[in-house]
Amino acid sequence: MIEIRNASKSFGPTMAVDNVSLTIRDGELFGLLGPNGAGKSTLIRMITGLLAQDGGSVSFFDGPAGTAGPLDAKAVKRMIGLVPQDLAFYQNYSAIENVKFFASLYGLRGKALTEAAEAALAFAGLSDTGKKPAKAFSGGMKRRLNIACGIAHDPRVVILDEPTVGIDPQSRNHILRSVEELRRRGRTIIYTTHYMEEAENLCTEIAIMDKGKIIAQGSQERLKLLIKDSSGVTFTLKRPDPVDLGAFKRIRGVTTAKLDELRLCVTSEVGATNLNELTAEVNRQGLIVTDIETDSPSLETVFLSLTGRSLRD
Amino acid sequence: MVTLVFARHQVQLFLKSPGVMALFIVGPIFVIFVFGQAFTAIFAAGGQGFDAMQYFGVTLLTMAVFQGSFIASWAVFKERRSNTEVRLGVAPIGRLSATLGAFLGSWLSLAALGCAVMALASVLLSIDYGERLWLSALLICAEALLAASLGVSLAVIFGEERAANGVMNALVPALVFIGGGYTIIPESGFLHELARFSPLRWINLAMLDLAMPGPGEYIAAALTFSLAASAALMTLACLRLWRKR
Repeated sequence: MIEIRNASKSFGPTMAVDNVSLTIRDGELFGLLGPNGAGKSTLIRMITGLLAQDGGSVSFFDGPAGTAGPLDAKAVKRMIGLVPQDLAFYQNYSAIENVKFFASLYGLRGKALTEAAEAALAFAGLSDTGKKPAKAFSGGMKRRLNIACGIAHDPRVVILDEPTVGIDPQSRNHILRSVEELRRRGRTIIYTTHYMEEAENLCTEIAIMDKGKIIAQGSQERLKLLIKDSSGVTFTLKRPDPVDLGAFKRIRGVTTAKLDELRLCVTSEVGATNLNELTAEVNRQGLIVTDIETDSPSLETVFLSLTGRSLRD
Repeated sequence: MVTLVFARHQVQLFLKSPGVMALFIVGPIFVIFVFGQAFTAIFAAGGQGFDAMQYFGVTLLTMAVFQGSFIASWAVFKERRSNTEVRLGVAPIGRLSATLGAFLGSWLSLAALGCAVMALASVLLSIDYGERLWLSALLICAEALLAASLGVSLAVIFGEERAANGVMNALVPALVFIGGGYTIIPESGFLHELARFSPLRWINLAMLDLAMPGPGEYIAAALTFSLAASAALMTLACLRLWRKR
């Protein structure tokens, strides 16, 4: 478990990280979401020990906090795998040379080193790159090599700092699948991004950062509850058929149902997850639907609501 | 062990830069040839006992090896340039081990390149490095050690590539000049006294003495100067790293 308590870091007059407190549990895929310049990378550098905090503490525990004392710096370094935001490998080395070199820094040697490097490259989909130097790779391949270099030593905690910035959709999908696979393998993952869809699709727990502060933290559902107490579904009908609104109102969680010309608007409590029942009722009444819209809040709207700005402002 | 990993890594990176290697080998051969041809008449008139090609075959070789300090400095700063400094910072390794590895790798690379230039100059330009070639090679290795420690220590002490390179840009040509790299230093006078402080002066004298052949009186001084200066520089670098930690 990672426990960050009142961590702060300033660069001159700029407060990059301002009194941040977080708890990241083992096996969690923790998302740090925020716009560029929010302080995510600075916080990551503090977690990895690359940057000393001005105040507060960052502690790693072998299990839940309180069961044993915090781990020492060397033990922490052994359990961390960092995938930095910038590509961090040697352009003249081949993929396997790069991965082998970085894995060797963790004490791997000989056959174990070769096997670990090959496994990391297979995981990143780079097994067949041969002796080709990394500088000849495409942008997506370089991003994947960046990940392979960070996980070859099989770290328990993998920290990915904006790993999908500026790459093609195919490589992006590969990376997202890889992150999910790492989570399935029980790794604790800290994932920073300013793509809210990524955080929504991947992360079990999310902290939203802005101007160095954590402005909201929790599961997606909990974050969405911060800004909304209801969600709506609008069915656009093909023709003005009669609609039994009472039947819709009797569905679990539904608070209102109304018909506005061809638009059937149904409002439910947040978390009701009753879309299947709503569509079943639409079918039961023989209504022909041309479009369905939901107005469930997204992390983007959460951020907008909390800061008044878009994530990519 | 980490030091050896980094030394191997440094040599490997150097081998992966054929352009730099070619420049390091072909450059000195070309300059020796040009200087040797250009100064033939002057040396013949001067009556120094050796011709221009022989003189520059030694002094420009030692100059090239000494300029290898830039390669050693690069060995430290390359991690920053390639963003790999972050990965090394996160890994459970000491910065001292990594720096010593960069130093060791740079030294091995420079020594090998110096010996390669010596062999090529001997074959292509018929430059005589004496019958005891192993002693000439030993002097080149000692000089490579000094060049590697100069580059690494300045990189560590200044911490900024431009600052370290700026100092080397001023220091290396000055030491080469007073060491007799570009022209013969007079046997007396201010320049002669000043030249005592250039390690290249002693290495050049020792190598020319081996080629003449002479009694080899400067070999011990050249080796002692190079090794002592190298040890002092690396001690400073280690102290600096220790204080940073």
